Amino acid sequence: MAESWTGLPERPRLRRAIRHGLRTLEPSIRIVAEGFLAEASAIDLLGVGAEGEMVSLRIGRDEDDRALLTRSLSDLAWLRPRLADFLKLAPGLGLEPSTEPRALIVCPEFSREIMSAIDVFPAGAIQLLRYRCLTRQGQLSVMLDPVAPVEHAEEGDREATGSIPPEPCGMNPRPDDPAPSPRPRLTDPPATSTFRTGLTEADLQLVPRDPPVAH
Amino acid sequence: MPRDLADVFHYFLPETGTEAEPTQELLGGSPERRPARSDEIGVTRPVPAAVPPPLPILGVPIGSRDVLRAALAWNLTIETARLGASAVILAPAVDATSPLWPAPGAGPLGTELILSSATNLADLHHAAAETAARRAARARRGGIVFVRIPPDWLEEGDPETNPFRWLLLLTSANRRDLDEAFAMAETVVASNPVAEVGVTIHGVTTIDEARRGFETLSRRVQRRLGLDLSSYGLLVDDLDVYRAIAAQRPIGLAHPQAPAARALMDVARLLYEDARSRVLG
Repeated sequence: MAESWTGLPERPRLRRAIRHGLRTLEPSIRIVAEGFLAEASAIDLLGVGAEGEMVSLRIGRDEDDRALLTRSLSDLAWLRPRLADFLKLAPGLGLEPSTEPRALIVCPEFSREIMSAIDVFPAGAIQLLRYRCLTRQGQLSVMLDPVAPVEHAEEGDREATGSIPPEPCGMNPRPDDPAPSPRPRLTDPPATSTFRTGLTEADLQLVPRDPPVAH
Repeated sequence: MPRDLADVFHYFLPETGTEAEPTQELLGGSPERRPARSDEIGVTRPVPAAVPPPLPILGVPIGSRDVLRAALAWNLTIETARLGASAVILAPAVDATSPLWPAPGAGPLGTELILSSATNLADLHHAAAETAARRAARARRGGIVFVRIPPDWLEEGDPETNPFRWLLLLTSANRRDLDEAFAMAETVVASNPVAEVGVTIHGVTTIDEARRGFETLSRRVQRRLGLDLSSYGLLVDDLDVYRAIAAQRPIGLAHPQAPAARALMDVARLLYEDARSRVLG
């Protein structure tokens, strides 16, 4: 029988519990480093995803979500140009250099601003996970709950400054969650099947040529 | 803060007799393969200074006697370089004796024509990837590795074995060429279902003609193959193009104000903008 964890768990303990929880929630992610120093602060967990993409995971407490979003964006910017380094130095990681890094932000709750903000990024580039701390036989355990994209669209009737309270949930995605869409690149390709040109008809007009020189 | 390869290289070498610092975790295999760790988790030192990712690779199916498409591809390479990008074109070594290209080696504006001894798609892509990584080191503004792909290599390869993920089809707007472009798109999809395919319409005299040609092809490809084509503008086949082909001179340098040169620059810009949004083609 699981009970709510009282107080704040130590960070290493929380990190380890979330790492364990991820094995169930996203078994394709292989964690390859902990406390990995990026641009200015340490990435809590650094992993490699199913497609060989780097995954930065930042763990926060209440009210941390805005700062974590900033750090996650910094992680993506920092990781992207270093893929070649990782590939060269650790070829066994299974990295795929054509993939874009992505970020997971793990917090007890998220504000509406954060949920709106991540909508500007391609789906999957930044994912939000809520966690709840439980105790099972005296051990810390976390329940991870993906914040589904559909949830973002339902935010319209919430207070602009309100936050989304955590809800009890299992470690697996809910059965009625929509299937995740394929993860696009951080910068999506151009809109497809729309003819594009920067030319005007005037650009295609023949330029008058010099008259041929008579011999 | 370490920002040099040498600063961190020892992290990735096998450990010697001494214990690694408990506050460091190496990049390694799966966590299950590593020894048990204490609860103390500290900060791992960073990887070295940023090394730019390889340049995107753009495959362009061009037949072994298709002088026109080869000339357009070569000129697109030069126009891409005019935009400040690093641009190189890679072709199979069988092209050495063909009239498709100028002499191999350094070309205008830092461009380069490289012939590869590859005899199949995988080797050709491998050579392109090596070139892309090498050029990226000195390409401060990114660039593109253009690769001539012999169409029969695509057709003869096993399904879903084509490593090229970004391809450009050059087609005119006439019915027969659009049919050929559709067949090539079908081949590309069979060889790599996740390939991104772009189309440039050449040989047109008006924008509307190019638009109609592209839309005809894209509708058919979408309906029959489920593939969304990307548009990369239009090219003009005017007299300057053929003169440049004959003289093996870049159109944009010989006739920078010609419609053909403007169109080439526009297509190069579209390609370059997309290339900069990619990590690797």
